Amino acid sequence: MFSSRIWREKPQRYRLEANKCKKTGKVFFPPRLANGLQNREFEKVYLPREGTVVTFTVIHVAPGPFTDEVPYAVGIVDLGPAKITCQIVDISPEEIKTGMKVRLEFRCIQKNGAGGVLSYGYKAVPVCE
Amino acid sequence: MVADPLRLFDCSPVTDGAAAVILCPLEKAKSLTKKRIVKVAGTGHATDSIALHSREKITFYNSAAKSAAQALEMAGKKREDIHFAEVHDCFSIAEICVLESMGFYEEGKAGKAIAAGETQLTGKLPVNTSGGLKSKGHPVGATGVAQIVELVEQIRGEAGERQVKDANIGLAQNMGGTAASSIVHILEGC
Repeated sequence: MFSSRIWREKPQRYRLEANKCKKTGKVFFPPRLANGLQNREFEKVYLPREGTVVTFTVIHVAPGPFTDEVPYAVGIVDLGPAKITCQIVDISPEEIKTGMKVRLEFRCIQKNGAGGVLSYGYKAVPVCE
Repeated sequence: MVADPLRLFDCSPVTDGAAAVILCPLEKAKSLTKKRIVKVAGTGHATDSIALHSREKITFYNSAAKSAAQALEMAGKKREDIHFAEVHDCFSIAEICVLESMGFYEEGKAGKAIAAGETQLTGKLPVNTSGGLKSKGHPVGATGVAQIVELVEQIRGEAGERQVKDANIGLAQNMGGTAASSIVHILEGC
């Protein structure tokens, strides 16, 4: 990922900033500039950090920066106002189940390029009950 | 295993490749070639959210549904008029979802129909006679044009061992960004 993109996406990746369409109330993550053709007015909202696993896969052949991490799980997590896609970590992939409660934590995501610039974001970890 | 449950042969190999077509007005085409003329009967293009998680269902592609409906309307055809199709099977699940989204099968039915042979060369709706992305390779930028080439060869009766009997109306569906964008063309021999 280019460092300009890391900088540009900080609000959503660091703080889970989403936006809510003022007319329809629908929440978008990542934030959008328009909801359909007419609706362009949004308010900033922060997503909650707890949710449930909707679906997931276990990656065995990974793209560039993630090759050392296989096998690892990536899933869709329902946070209520919006869903989010992220890695599910701190649990062995065989133990992950749909419907499982998870919490999003601030984690290092990858090292970028030869310089190894770090980019941060969210990963889901199981909630102990 | 690549990404559970997709194994190696469920995933199209991204390859080198090239494809080309010559387009011109229909009347002009007749003076340029003695080969059978194939016309663009209909075309459709639709989009959806980039993120899978923003969609109501991850197994139904709104972009494929809308682009197919547009192309069918423009061509004045019904689904049962289509003799054969090339669809964007970047992964085996994609072919299933695309056939269902375009309305050729009800949701949840395409996988079983494919397994039962309905999309084979002699089946009800032959799909991906070219081999599709998985068997032919997926040279990303050339993939869509290669689908059109296959449609033309089939309609001209030049497909050899792959020939669909009496193929005259074919549909090509190409997409990108996990079906964030889908384009459908319907070609017809004249």
